[in-house]
Amino acid sequence: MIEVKGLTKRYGTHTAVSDLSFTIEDGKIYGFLGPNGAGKSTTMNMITGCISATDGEVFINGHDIFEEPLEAKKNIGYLPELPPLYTDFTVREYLKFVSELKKVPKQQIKEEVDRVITETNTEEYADRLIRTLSKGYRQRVGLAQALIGNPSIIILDEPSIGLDPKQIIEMRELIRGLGKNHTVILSSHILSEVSAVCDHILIIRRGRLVANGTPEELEKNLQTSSQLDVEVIGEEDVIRKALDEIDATIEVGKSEEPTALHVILKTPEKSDLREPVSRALSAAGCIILGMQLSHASLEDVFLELTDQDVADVTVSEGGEEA
Amino acid sequence: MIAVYKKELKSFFQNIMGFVFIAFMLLMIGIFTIAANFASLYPNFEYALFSSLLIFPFLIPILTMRSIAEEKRQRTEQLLFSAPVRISDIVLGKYFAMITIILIPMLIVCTYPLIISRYGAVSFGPAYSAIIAFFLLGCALTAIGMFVSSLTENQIVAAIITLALMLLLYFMKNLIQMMTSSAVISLIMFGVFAIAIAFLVYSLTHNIAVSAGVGFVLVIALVLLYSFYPEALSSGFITVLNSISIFSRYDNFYFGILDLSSLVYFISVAALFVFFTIQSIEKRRWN
Repeated sequence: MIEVKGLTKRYGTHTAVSDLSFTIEDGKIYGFLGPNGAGKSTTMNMITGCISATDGEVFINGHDIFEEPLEAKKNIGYLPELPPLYTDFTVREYLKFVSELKKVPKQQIKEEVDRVITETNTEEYADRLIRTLSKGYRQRVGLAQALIGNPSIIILDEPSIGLDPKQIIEMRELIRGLGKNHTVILSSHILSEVSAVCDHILIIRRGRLVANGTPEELEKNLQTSSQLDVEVIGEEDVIRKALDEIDATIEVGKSEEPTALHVILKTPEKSDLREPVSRALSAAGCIILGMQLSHASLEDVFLELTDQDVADVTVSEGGEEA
Repeated sequence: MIAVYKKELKSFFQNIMGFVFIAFMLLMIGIFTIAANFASLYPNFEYALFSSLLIFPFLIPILTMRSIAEEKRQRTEQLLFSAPVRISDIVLGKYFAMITIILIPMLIVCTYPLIISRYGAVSFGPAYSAIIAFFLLGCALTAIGMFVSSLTENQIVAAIITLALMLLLYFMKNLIQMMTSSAVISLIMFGVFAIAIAFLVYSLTHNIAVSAGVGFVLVIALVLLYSFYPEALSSGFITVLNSISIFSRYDNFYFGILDLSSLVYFISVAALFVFFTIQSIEKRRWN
């Protein structure tokens, strides 16, 4: 379990991470989502003890990472954004070094190295120099390194960046597999990647936590909009008048059906207008050919948050100019 | 610490750096031994090592340039920092690995006085105390080189700075002889030092007010000292240069004296710069 309380990191006057607090529970896969430069890597580097925090506390299974780093770090396997590989070594030699570094008992080292090699499907390349491996396999060796010592928490920073689509799918499978025995935290700036594997999503924006929940919760709780598309046969005036009572913004346009009109009703909150719209249009004598209700997806939620980010930036830039 | 030590040693021999280093060191000491002992017919091995001191400015940068800088550049430091080991263990592991690379040729060199003794009367005491001094001087210089490597991400930059520093230290003796000791020169030189310290403070804190304040206070103190006690300054600069002239500490061994204070000096410099290296890495993590 990881408890993060009021975590802050400042570089001079620039605040990379600001007052971040959350709890990571055991046995789930967590996704750390945010646009580039949101502070994901900085946060992960702080949780793993690579860099210090300006303020705040991090407890790894009850051990404070800044006060008792050695105890806390035993529980973590970390794959940074760039896999930390010694390219002059073979995969096996490298993993042996990591085992020694992580204080795996001497007689178990060989077994442990074999285990992580099998787990990451790198048997074929185990005796090759890391320098000669492709990006995808380097990433796997990086993951293998994180698994050494069987830590209860695995932290992966952008694990599928720079991989080709096939490798991304394989990496996802690997991560899903890890989720069965470990708590996994992974970061990404790509939503589809996080929603594909994670049980729980934390969205971070400009160093602040803006959303925290399961993918379903996020879609439900966050301010999401609904849209109702209706194909109607009738006069535009009549339709507009009929829908006057309904609390939504209405657009009327041409439809693909030659005789019909395409009406779009948008509401800022989640709602289902099918019944009132149907009644109103029928009462006005219009014929409904089809209806399609859609809610904002997680993608939209994320885009909305990212858009806000863009909006904030423009505002602050404008402020500076003024 | 042992894990890092083994890994470092292994990577030295993985990319032939270690072999080249050892071979070159033996070659150069061999050449100087032939020159001093076999060509000039002196039985004193300490003379050969005295000439061999010149190899340090060129060899130490090669040995130390990668040590910390490369970990930073390759981002492998993140593996070390997130592992359950102390920074001091990492630094000491690296340091002892580099020391081992110097120790291997020095152990081979230990046979040279024995070889020379077949051809003349060698006094082993001075010969072996010179070997110990030579090795410890190497340890001290290695620590300085490692510290320089911890300041940059670029191993070439580290190598050039270390080379420049080592050459400066090597020729310090000659520089001191060239210098006339007068209060004004001391004042100027200390003034330059004071400004250098102010810049160092700035590079560490990025705070103009604090660093300018430090520089200002130091310069004012110097000017006051100069106006009231000029005699304190007159030889002051030379004294300071003498005390940091690490290569001159070997001189006593050249004359066959077992100078324990110099050995302690070498070990202290080594310990100090290992400590500085640890601090420099810690500081980077806190930034």
